Amino acid sequence: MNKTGIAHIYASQNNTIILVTDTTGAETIAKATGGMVVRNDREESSPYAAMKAADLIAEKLREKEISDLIIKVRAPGGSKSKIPGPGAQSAIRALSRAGFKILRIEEVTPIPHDGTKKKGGKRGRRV
Amino acid sequence: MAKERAQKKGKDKWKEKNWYTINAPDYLGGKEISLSVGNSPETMVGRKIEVPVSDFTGNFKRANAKMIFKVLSCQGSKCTSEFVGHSLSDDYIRRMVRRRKERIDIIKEVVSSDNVNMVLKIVIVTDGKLTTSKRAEVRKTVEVFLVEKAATFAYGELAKYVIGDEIYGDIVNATKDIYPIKKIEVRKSVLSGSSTVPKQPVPQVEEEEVEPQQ
Repeated sequence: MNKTGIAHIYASQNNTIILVTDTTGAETIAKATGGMVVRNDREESSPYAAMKAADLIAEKLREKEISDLIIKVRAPGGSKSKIPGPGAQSAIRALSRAGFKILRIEEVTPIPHDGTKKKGGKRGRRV
Repeated sequence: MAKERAQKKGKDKWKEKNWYTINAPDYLGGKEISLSVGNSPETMVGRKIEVPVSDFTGNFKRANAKMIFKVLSCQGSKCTSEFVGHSLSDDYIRRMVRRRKERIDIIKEVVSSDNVNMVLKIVIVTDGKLTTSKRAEVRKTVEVFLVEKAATFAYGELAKYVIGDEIYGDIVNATKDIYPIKKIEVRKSVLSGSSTVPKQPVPQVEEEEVEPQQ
């Protein structure tokens, strides 16, 4: 049986966090974020930063002999955005191009059954 | 201080960890489910792992259901687990229920023949709106059916029955005289307590006669 990891990709509008755990989710194998690879705060969520972060992850996983990955993508969810940020797609693509066998890709954004009110007030966020 | 930091950094915690194989329980075939990493066998106990039903049984119709196993004990690098339930993806349930359809939720705790309790959560979708009395009748019939059916199975057989396809036909047959049912799914099953230590039936305490106060 191959050594499998779960890549939890949290893609928001402000950053992309990739955390790889074992299949039970109890042990962290590797971690990288968009902020670790770019200098500007505004670039943390960019597809380029996500790709670089995924490359970092790939390097660490190769050292630890992980060959298969299950990908779980999520957006902030709850009362916030339910659509994953710009980094999600490029992180998945970078991981698959790095030579890992992707077993399945899941969407795990937390969707409330009946949640709290979205912040910003009655008239919404006024920019 | 700097030396201490360097020493701390130099210690590779990953090399101290070992890989453990997690096996399915014997009543579900006992095959290897997955590999997991940990410091010692004790740290593995209590961990949960999700496996798609389609991977486990080869039944591709059930790709949107996941079985959940919990590690019970480890000997050497092999760990045994128990089946603690399954769950269906929320998307699938959401797609089942549309306009002008009725969704009936049934949650019932059943007891297997070897005294293991399991909670079954069932979703029934019908083609039209039901009257309250029909709805109540459907719900009651299904509850009675589940309790009676579960009592004929040992826990392992019950687990197989819940993740299998037979349960759907059986529920349709049980309710066909009341109302035609469009779709049925066992949305979730949860083991209540432990499968290895069955719940003992609560002994009935005999009431002591209270002496009248003088």
